[in-house]
Amino acid sequence: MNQTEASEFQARFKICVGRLTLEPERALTEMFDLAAQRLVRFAVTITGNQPDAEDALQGAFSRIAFRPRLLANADAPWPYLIRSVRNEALRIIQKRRGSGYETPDRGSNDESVEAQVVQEETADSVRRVLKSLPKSQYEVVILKHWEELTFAEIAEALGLSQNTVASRYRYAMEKLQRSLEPLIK
Amino acid sequence: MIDPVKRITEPLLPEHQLLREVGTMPQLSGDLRSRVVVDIRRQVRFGRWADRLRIAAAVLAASLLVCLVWKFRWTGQDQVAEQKPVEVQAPVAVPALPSSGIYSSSPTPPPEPAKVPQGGPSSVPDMREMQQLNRLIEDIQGRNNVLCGLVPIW
Repeated sequence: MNQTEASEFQARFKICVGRLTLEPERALTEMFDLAAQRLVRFAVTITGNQPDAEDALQGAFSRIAFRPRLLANADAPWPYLIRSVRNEALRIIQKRRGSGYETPDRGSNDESVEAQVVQEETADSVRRVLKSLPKSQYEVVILKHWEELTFAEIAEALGLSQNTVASRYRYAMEKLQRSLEPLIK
Repeated sequence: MIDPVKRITEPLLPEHQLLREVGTMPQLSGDLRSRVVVDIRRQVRFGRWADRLRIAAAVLAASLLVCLVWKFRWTGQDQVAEQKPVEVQAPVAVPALPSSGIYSSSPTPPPEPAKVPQGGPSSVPDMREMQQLNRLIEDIQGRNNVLCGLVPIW
């Protein structure tokens, strides 16, 4: 996503949030159309498979539809929505396999998607390197590079301090730089 | 990515580019949108009902509170109204107490001789009260005898 797309996304998302209290159904439907793919992409990193990620998305939207003011009055609505999806994903994981969150299986579905990508081998290698990161660092890297959130927004989404987020990101990037060096060359 | 405050573009390193290329958008299930939309519609309806119930409960609680305050307020006024008609009774004629024992030399002046009521309609209840008072005085004197004159008589 380039800068223009990102700013356009943010603007459209703000419009949806602004309409939440007046027309919650319409606003949430538009919000789903706008952000569903990004949210599922993020949820897959937690649940490890797409069906659970979609369930997490549905659960998050369901909760927000019940009380739309919570999102409408949030200081940072986009991180708030990401956090809702994350909480739902964690709840689904806990239901499914107790403490399985630490070692999610992020393999099969991603591979089927990546089979259509031109540089399949490189992408798979990068994925493997990403999977090798600790879960806490992995989340921060995903939110930083895929969702293009600031450290403050990531801290809001994960319920951590900015310093913690920044240090996790730094450690993760050090590992990634070492691991990805052959691919870059 | 741009810092919104300083307007400085963050450097995009090769590894950053690689990471971003990996983050492809997933293909969503065909029925996900319809499922979510139906769910949103239902939850919005439930949420509205929940809001109405919450407001109704708040109004009901406030009404109950007002009713309670109103009731106690009226009860208080009734009590005041009941207390008002009580008439001030005429001073009761008390016979002079016989002074005896160690208290006979007390510095308190002896009680003035009571005025005997001049008859009239209230003479019968006064007599009863006098009898009761006399009985009380006798009781006190009896106790004084038992307690060796420790009960003060004034």
